[in-house]
Amino acid sequence: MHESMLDYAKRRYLKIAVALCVVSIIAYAWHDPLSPPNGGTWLGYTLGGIGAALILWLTALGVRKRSYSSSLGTLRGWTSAHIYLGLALIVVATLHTGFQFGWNLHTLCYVLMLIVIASGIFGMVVYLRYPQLMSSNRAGIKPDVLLEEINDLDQRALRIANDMPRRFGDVLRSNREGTRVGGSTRAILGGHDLSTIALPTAGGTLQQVSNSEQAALLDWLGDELARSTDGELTKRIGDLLSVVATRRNQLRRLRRDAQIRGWLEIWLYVHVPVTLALIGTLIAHVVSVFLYW
Amino acid sequence: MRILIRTLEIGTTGVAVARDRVVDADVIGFGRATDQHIHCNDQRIGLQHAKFTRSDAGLLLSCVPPAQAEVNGRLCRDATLRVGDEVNLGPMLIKVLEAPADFDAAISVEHDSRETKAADDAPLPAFATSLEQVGWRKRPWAWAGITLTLMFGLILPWFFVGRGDASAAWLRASVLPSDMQWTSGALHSAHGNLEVECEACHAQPFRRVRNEQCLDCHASTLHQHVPADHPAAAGMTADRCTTCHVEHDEPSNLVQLDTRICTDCHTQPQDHGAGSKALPVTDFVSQHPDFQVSLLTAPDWKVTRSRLGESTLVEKSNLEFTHAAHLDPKGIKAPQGEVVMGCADCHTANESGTSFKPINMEQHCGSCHTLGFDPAEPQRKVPHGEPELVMQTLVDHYSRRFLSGYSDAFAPADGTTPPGASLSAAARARVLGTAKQRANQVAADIFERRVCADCHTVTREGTSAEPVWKVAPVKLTQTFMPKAHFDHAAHATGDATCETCHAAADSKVATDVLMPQIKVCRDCHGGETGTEGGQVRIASPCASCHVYHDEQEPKWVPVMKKVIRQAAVRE
Repeated sequence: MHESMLDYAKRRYLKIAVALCVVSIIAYAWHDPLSPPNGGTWLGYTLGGIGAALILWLTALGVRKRSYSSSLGTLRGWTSAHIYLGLALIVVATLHTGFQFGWNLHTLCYVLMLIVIASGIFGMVVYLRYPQLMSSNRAGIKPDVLLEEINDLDQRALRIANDMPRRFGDVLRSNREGTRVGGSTRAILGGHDLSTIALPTAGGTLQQVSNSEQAALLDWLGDELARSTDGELTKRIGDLLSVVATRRNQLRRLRRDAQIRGWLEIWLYVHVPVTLALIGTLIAHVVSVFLYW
Repeated sequence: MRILIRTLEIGTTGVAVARDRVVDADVIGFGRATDQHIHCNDQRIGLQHAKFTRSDAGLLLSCVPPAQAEVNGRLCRDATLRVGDEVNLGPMLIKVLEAPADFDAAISVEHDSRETKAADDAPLPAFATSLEQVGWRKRPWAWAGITLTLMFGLILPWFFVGRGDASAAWLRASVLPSDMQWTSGALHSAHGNLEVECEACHAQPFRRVRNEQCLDCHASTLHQHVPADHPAAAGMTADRCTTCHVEHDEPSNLVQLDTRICTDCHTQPQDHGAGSKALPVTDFVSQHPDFQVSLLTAPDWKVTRSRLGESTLVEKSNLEFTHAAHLDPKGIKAPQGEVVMGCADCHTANESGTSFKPINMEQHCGSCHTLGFDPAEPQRKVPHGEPELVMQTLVDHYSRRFLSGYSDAFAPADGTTPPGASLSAAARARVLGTAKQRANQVAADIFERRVCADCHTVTREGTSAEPVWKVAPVKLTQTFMPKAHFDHAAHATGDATCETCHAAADSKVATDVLMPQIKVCRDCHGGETGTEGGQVRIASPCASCHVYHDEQEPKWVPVMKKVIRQAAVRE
């Protein structure tokens, strides 16, 4: 059975993280400074030091991830540690604050850290769930191959339409041009189909209509099929229906793939930039408290 | 089935090369998997895409769902093939050939030329399927994040503060983020005037706030905290003020009320250099010695410290007085008749109500204890002062009166002068001698029997002709417990009266010390939390009564008052 990043090395990092939290909480409860608990007591400095070191080390995952030749532990080990120790950071940093918050740089640093951790939790959840959905959706076929297949289906359809009345070729070319996968953040994440197609109307003009899930085209072909009296044409329309239905299925998979990939990535667009903002704020926090010691 | 498979490939020279092979199998497989007889390494082709079998009608093609094949331009899943039929399978074109002798079937396998052409002609559809393709970027935002936070959170304020001129103040007044964002918590209200002046305390970057900055306002020595001879005094100069007086905390806690400030040493004071008289203290309730009172003691008025409750304390003020007589509920005889007195008749509160004004003879005793001596002139009084002045007053009084011809029942018959008579020198001397005699007589009366002796211890010295009286000096202890703060006004709650703590009505001698013992306080006051000993009482840490400062007013108080006054004037 596949061992998830959470179970890595018999949950070694979970144990370390829990131990860190427990020790921090006990120390905080035991510690009874003269002034209200704050980041400037010996325990405050200790927790702050651990927290800052954790933040920098957790950020190093981003560097390690890109370094394929690194022999510094497995990537799965790093990810496992990243998750558990990142969660432990909530406890360590909160105790470091001594529950003193305000409209200042220090609290900003804390809030940015929470945003990073929250986006990380989101990322962890999608990473645990979505890769399986993705591979079951792909069924072993990569998106670029799906694209090639769709291209192939288009060529096949056009070849079929070569021996058919001109309107079929026009509609198929319009379908090819109007087909969309993704196209906007909403469409990617929602899995919406923004495809359109220009279909001939009874008056002989073309009308651009929505072709979500190839429905408009399939309907049009269905109408043509019902009207057809020519045996050969009927057969060819039947072939086209088959090709377009296959095309619809492939597009659906491609769209679902984009959707899953979108959710797998979207949190990183928060996680990574806010991490960098956090590091900037962290540096400012540490320097400023000693600048005005 | 014995089948001839002819593979046509375009060689490197551009010439088509045919390669024949013979396969003997019931099922000829076509697919991407390497075990297939006809192998096609194309992603669109399934691992097992289609298979060829033999039937009576000819070669049979069946695709493995969902795969499909295009047979003579028509899509189908199963087909019976005849010679000349063409099957498109992805990039491959399979033609059915006439089977040579000894063969059940023959096919040629070649790359579909239309496929290549179609693929070249039609570029793949360009879909924006990734977030990056619809405009999402990590890198610029990441750079912006770290740059902006460092710029506005650190570099900009630091630069302006580092200039050491009015720039910092300008920045603080502007909309731009200044060093005010570094404030981790509000200042104590006592330091409110420094709120926008960080450099008043943070004088040097990366240096902890030094005592000098505190002393800019708070006097010139640290000994205000404890007397110079206190064991902790030596440490005071070494410690930083901010070790205990921590600012920017929430809740604001500039003055430490934590009992550990005291009990760190006072739990075992001898371990910290205190003398043997210092008793251990852990808490007001759990362990606190009985109160000590400071008593002024005649005759040299040295202050002696005595512990309440150890033995009956005696206050030697030289005053003859009893509280019991004055507080008699039936009243006490006074010139104006019977008067019922209360504590406040003599003990008048000071302006703040925390303590009492000193007892003053003229003000508090004089209305009853008049100093008149001559019934004929009741308004005439001896001064409340030195016996010599009293004597002088008496001699003056009687000399004047006898010389002016006045006589009273006690005057000697020949010692006075008729009114209007002019006296010879000898007669004048005789009259004055009589007056002196009369003065001595009255003096003996008021010193020893009537007026002075009511309250004072008087001794007679000198000769019988020239008697001299000595009045033992009186001094009352004004502050019995100078080491602790007590606010009388704060204790005037409920039905509490003076008697609640001070048993004055029963005090029959002047030497009684009426200060309450610690157990009286403990009726209401607890220790640091107030919950010690299973009772809920008023939380009373050390600082409720004791200050960490010297007995005298700390030197910074007048300085601070001046600063506050100036600030008020500025506003």
